Amino acid sequence: MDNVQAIQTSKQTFYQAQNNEIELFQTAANNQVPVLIKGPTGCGKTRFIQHMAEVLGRKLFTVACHEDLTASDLIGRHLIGDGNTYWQDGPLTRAVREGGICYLDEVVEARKDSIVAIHPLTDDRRILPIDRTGELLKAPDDFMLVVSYNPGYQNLLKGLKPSTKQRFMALRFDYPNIETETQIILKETHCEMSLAKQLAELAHHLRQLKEHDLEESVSTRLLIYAANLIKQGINPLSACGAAIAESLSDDLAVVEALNLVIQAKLV
Amino acid sequence: MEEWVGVKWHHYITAKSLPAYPESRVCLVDIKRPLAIFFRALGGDKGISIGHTTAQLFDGHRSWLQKISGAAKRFERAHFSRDHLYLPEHIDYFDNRQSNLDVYYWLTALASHNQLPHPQHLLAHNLHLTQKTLRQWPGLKKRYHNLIQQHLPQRPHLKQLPSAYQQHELLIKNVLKNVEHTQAIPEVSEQNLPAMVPVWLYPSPEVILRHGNKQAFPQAKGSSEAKAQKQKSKRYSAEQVASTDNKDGLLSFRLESLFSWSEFINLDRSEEDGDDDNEALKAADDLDKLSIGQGETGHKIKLDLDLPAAEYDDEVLEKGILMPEWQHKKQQLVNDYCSLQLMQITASESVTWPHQLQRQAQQLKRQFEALKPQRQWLNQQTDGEEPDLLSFIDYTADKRAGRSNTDPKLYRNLQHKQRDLCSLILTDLSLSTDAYINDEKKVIDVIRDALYLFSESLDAAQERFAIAGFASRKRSHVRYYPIKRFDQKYDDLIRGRIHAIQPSYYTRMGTAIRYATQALLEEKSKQKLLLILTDGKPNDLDQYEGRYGLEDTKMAVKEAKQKGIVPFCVSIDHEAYDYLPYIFGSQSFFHIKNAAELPRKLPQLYLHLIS
Repeated sequence: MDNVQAIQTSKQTFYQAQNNEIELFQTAANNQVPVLIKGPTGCGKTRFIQHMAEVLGRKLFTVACHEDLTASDLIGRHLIGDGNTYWQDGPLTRAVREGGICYLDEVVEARKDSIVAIHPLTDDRRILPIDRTGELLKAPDDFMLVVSYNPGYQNLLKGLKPSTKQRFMALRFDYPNIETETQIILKETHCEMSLAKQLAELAHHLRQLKEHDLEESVSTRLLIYAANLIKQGINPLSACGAAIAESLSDDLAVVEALNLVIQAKLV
Repeated sequence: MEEWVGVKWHHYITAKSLPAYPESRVCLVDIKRPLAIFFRALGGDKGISIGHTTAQLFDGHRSWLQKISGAAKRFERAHFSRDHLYLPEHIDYFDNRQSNLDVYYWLTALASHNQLPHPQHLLAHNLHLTQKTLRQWPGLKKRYHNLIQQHLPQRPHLKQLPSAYQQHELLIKNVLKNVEHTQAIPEVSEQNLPAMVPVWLYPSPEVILRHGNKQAFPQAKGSSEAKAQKQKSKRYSAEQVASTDNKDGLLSFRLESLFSWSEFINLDRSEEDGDDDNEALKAADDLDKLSIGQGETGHKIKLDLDLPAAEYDDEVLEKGILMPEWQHKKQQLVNDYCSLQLMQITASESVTWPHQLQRQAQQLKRQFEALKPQRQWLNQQTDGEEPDLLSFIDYTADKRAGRSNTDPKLYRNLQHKQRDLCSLILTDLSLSTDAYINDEKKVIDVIRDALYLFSESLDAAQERFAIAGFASRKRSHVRYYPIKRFDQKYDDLIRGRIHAIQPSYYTRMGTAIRYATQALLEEKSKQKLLLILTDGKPNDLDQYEGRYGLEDTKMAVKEAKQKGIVPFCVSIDHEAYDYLPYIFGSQSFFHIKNAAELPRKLPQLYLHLIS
């Protein structure tokens, strides 16, 4: 499975805490409480999990969920090999066997019937029954289930079932405030202080357009892209135009307005 | 000939006295949308929409040439008024398009602080706003200085000005050039202006413009202390009108000068019907100029849109259902504020629909039948109830040939395709739907056709749906027509009711949404869609208009969302972009440009929404 990665704990990933989320997550991890992380795109959910996996010294198994994800994609399946069949564990099963954090990214994208597979792992039984092989795995103490989703895209027919939602402790993430975001841009890109500050202020203003004019507001990730482009010598206005305005909207009038706001902010 | 010379002279003399460059003119309508987004991004109030002003009399100094030519007599001031930011309809101050465009963006940036200068402190307050804007948006510095560079030569020369204006002009030029000006600034009101400054905001016209006239607005009878206080702080462009009792004199009435709303009509307003004095004050707020006469009134006619007699009206099902309303000034949901009644349209079961519409309905039915809940086999699954023979043969053949697939899809699976969804279609039946959209059809006809086609489609797809309409006449009388309830069968009776819908009264949308929300909450489906069809803003006879109506509707939509309902609005109002995003959010409304397309587009939109 190519979407499973085991992170080495050699060099720690940078994460700037916004609140008491690190403490909450650590306590949840030590007490075998599954965690749900919700927040807008690019606000640092995945980075946070990577960071926490390193802090806790646990392996991280990431599954990017999509519409065709079946229960067997999570648990595992029989594959037909040369003349016989063999069983291959899915990422969830591997995490349960080996211990570590299983992280289901954008969990609402997955089909509802496949998500039910995680239910027995999220209550006090902490077991994973595998029907196909007849196994009943008991999760070790260092196994932890984390799911994330973005409450922003409320598709009419998508959403997390309340019965699934209620099995998790939930952490709400949002974009950082101007000072914190400036620090993040600085640490990530080593650009100039004034640029980082301007980008953070710009983002703060553009975020007011969420709901009203934009479906999603500008993410910290996009700001880092823009800062990187500028650092490489691209003209600031075109860097922000490409990394921010055009990424946020396809509507010409909106892009034009965003570009004007960018021009008003950057000197 | 005489006229021709006149026109030529007018053009010559206006061009001479007031610079204008029509060839590089920028019109507000062309840039309104990006401008509105720019305004909101910079921190402007999201409930405010952008509109254009009419030119108002300019109170400051005009040069001799300008007086001759009649130029600069009126001037379109950028200002706020209630829920609008007003900007000039078009700008042609400079000889290049970019600069004229920049004026718009500059004025919008100034306005994004949501503050207006006081009439007595025009200069000081505009300087403050300019400094604030440039500090926050350093990228605008270049543009601002560029505009000033072009504007300064257009300003009158000191020598040509009367001495009273010279000092002010010097100060204005200094301040425009040097925004870091820190010395104390004397009071400057519009009368002291040697010429208008296009890069400034101006006080709203509701604030009195004639400072000579300090007369207080006559106090309404029985108003409280607090109200009197409010009136003092708020001044109207008031004028005393002499009683029109002269019987003789010239007939000065010309056809083209028909009375407009704000002109003085000698009517007895001392007993306006209304719940309270607030309404009278509100009406006064709506006028640019308030004319008050004393003495005998000319007419004793009272205009009121009355309810029809019971025998002509629709049948009342249930009365006195009390509903709350959100009052945004108090930031409070006032319980039992509106009274709603359930009404039923009297309809006959035998109606015939036009052939073309029936044909369209047949087509849609075929399309929607595909949505019926059904079971189907999906081939090539990684997992499933049965092996998929064809895939297995392919796989085996591939393997023999030496190519092996590590992730073979060898099963078939039986899937139940079922939506757990119910939809309520809530339509606006207010009087505005009585307007014609083209030579043949009114808005109400389009809504009727749309409801018919949509219901036929939903029925064919075996969807669970309900239809309701609403209208209102003040808070005491909100009508809600449950045309089809969820558990009712879609039959000829319902078709008859759809056929019989009629426009009446006004649009108290928030109340209707709240009631529809209750109806949806009784449903067991997991997903609940509230589809609202409308042709305009929420409004009613009382204070339910403008910001008040928007805020209440926004709150009703928010409440519905919190209860797990998905509200979605379909509007045919061409100004929908101004206010619908504020109420519903950018992803929850759809604007149909050509109203005649509503019947065709509505079913397609639904397909898009649920798939």
